[in-house]
Amino acid sequence: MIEVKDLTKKYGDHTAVDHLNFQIGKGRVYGFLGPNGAGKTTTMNMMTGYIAPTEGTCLIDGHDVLEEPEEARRNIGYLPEIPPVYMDMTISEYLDLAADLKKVPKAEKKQMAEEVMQKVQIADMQGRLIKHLSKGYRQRVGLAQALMGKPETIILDEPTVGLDPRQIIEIRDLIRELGKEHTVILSSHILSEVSEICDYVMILSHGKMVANDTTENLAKIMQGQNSLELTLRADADRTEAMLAGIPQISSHTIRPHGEDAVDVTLKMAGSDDLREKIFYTCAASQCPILRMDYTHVSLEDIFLEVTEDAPAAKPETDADDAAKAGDAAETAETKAAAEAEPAKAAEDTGAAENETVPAADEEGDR
Amino acid sequence: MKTIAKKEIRTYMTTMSGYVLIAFMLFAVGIYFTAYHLAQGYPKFSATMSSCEFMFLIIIPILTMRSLAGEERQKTDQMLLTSPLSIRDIVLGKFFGMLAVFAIAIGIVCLYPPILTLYGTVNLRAAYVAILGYFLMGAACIAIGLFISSLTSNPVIAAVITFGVIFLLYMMSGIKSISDSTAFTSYIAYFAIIVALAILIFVLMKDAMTALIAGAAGEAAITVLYFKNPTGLEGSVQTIMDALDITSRFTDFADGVLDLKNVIYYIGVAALFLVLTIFSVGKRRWN
Repeated sequence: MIEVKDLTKKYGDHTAVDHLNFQIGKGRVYGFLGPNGAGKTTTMNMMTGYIAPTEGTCLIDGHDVLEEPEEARRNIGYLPEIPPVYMDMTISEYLDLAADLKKVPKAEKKQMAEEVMQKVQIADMQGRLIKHLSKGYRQRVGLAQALMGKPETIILDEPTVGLDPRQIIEIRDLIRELGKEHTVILSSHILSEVSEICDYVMILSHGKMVANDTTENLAKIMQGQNSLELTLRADADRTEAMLAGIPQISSHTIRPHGEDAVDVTLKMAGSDDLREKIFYTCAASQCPILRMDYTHVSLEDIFLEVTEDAPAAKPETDADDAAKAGDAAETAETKAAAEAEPAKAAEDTGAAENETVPAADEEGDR
Repeated sequence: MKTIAKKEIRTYMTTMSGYVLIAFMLFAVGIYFTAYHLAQGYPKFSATMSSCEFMFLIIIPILTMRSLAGEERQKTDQMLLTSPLSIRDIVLGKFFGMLAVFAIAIGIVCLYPPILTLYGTVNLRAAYVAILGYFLMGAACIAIGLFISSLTSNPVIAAVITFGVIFLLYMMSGIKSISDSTAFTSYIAYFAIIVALAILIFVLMKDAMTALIAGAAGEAAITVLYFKNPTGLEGSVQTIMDALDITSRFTDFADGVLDLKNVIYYIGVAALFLVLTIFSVGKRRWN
C-alpha cells in the first residue's frame, strides 16, 4: 500500500510535481502516463526516496520513505530510467550486491538470484560483465535488480525506452507476468503501452494529476462523448422530427449532403449503443441510412484532451509573458509527442491500435 | 555499511585500479627503501615513509575520485540511495572500502622493516609508529577526497580538486614558515578563507543568495574586527594553519613519537569530513 500525500517538488521557481495525491493498493499494474517533462520520473524518484519532496510525504505500508528507509524501501524495487548497473561487475556479482542491499539472508541469496534470472531470462549470461551486454539485456539486469528481495511493489521508469520491437514485447509480457505477484507501477509516454499493460492509469501533465482511473473506466467516462456519424436520405426537417423520438441523444448537428441527403453527427448521453434504435426509427419512417460510423474514444483522445486542458488554462491566469511562451512551446511539444508516439508504438509492436472507426461498424452502408 | 565496503573492495580488486594503486605505492616505497636502507644502510625506516608523503598527492585523488562522483555519473547512486541502507552506511562503507585498499598496500609495507633487521639493529617500534602515522594520515586524506567526490558528478574535477586541497595541506608548513603574524596578514588570510567557505556553501546548497549573504556578512564581520581590534587578529591565522597542517603531525610519528593527540587529530579530521560527506550526499536529495 503506497500513500502519496500532497507530493510537491520545486526546482527554483519551476514546479515539477504539484501536490499529487493518490493511493496505490496491492496487486495491480499502474501506469503513469504523461508527455515528456510531466513529472513522472520526479514523482517516481520521490516515491523511492531518491530525492526528497519539497512538500508532502510518501508512505509505504505506513512508513515514510525518507524517515524510515529501512522499513519502507525494503518493499520496493526500483528500476530507474537508466539501469543503475555497475559496468565492471558480472550479472551474478551484481545481483549478489542487490541482494545484500535489500538485506536478503545469505542462505536465500543464491536461490533468489537464480529465480530472478530465470524470470528475466538472463540465466545463461550470468558470468558476463555487464559492460559487454546490449541495452536490452542491461534493462533486464536492472529489472532483475529491482526484483531481488521479492519486494511487494516494483517501480519501473520508462521500462521499454530504447529497446527494439521484439524486446519491447518481451518486457511488456514480463511486466504483465509480474503484475500477478507484485504491484507494478510503471511510467510511460507511450499510450498504447499503458492501455495494453496497465489496469489503472494516472495521467500527469505539468506535474498535476489530470486523470486517475482504471483503463476501462477512463474510456467509459469519456463515452458520453462517443458519437455517431450518419448520412440519411432525408431533408433536415424530417431528420429533426425522427431524432426527437430518441431521448438518449444529447445533441446533434445536421448538415446538407448533396441534393437529397443530410449528414448528422449525434452525441449520446450514457454508454448505450444506439445503432439498432436508430436503424428501426429510420426504417419506420422509411428513411434510408446511407452511412453509419461509430466514433470510439480511445485512451489517446482522453490523453490529448486532458493534457491539452492544463496548459491552455494556465496562460490566461498567468501574467508573466515568459511563462506564457514556455507553456505554449510545451503545449506544442505535448501535441507533437502525443501524435507521434501512437504511430511509433503501433509500428513497434506491429499491432494496430484502436482505430477511431472500427470497420465492423460500417454496416449502415448496406 | 559492510555491503558497500565489500562492494567497494571488490570493485577495486576486480578491476585494474586497485592493483595499479597498490603497485604504484609499493614501487615508490620500494625505491626509497632500496636507496636509503639497502644501498646506504640507513637504519631509520621512517625516512622512507617521510619521503613517501608526496604519494598522497597522487594516490588519494585517484583512489577517491570515483567514489561518489562516479556513482552519480553512472546513475548507480539511484540503486544505493533507494536501497534500505542509510546515507551514513553508504558513506562509511565507501570510506572503509577505500581504507581497506590503502591498508593492503600499508600491510605489505609492514613487511619491510623486518627485512632491515637482517642487516643490523633496527628500532622496529619507531618504524611501525611511522607506518601507523602514514596510515592515519592516509585515512584523513581519503575522507577529504571522499567529501570532495560527493560535491561533483565529475570524477576528473573531483580528482583535480582533491589534488589541490592535499597539495595545499602538504605545503601548509611551508606557507606557515613564510607568513608573518601581523594583524594584516591574518586579515587577508581570513578574507580568503571566508571567500572559500562561501564558495563551498554555494556548491553544497546550490543557492547563490545564501552563499553571497553568508560571504558578505563574514567579510563585513572580519573587516569590522580588523579595524576595531587589530591586536586580536595577530597571530591567529597561525593557529588556523597549525590546525590545517596535516603533515607536521606525521613528522612526530616519523620521529617515533606516538602521541595520542596526533592520533586523535587524524581520526578527528577523518570523522569531520565523513560527517560533511553524509551531509553533502543528503543535501543532494533536496536540490
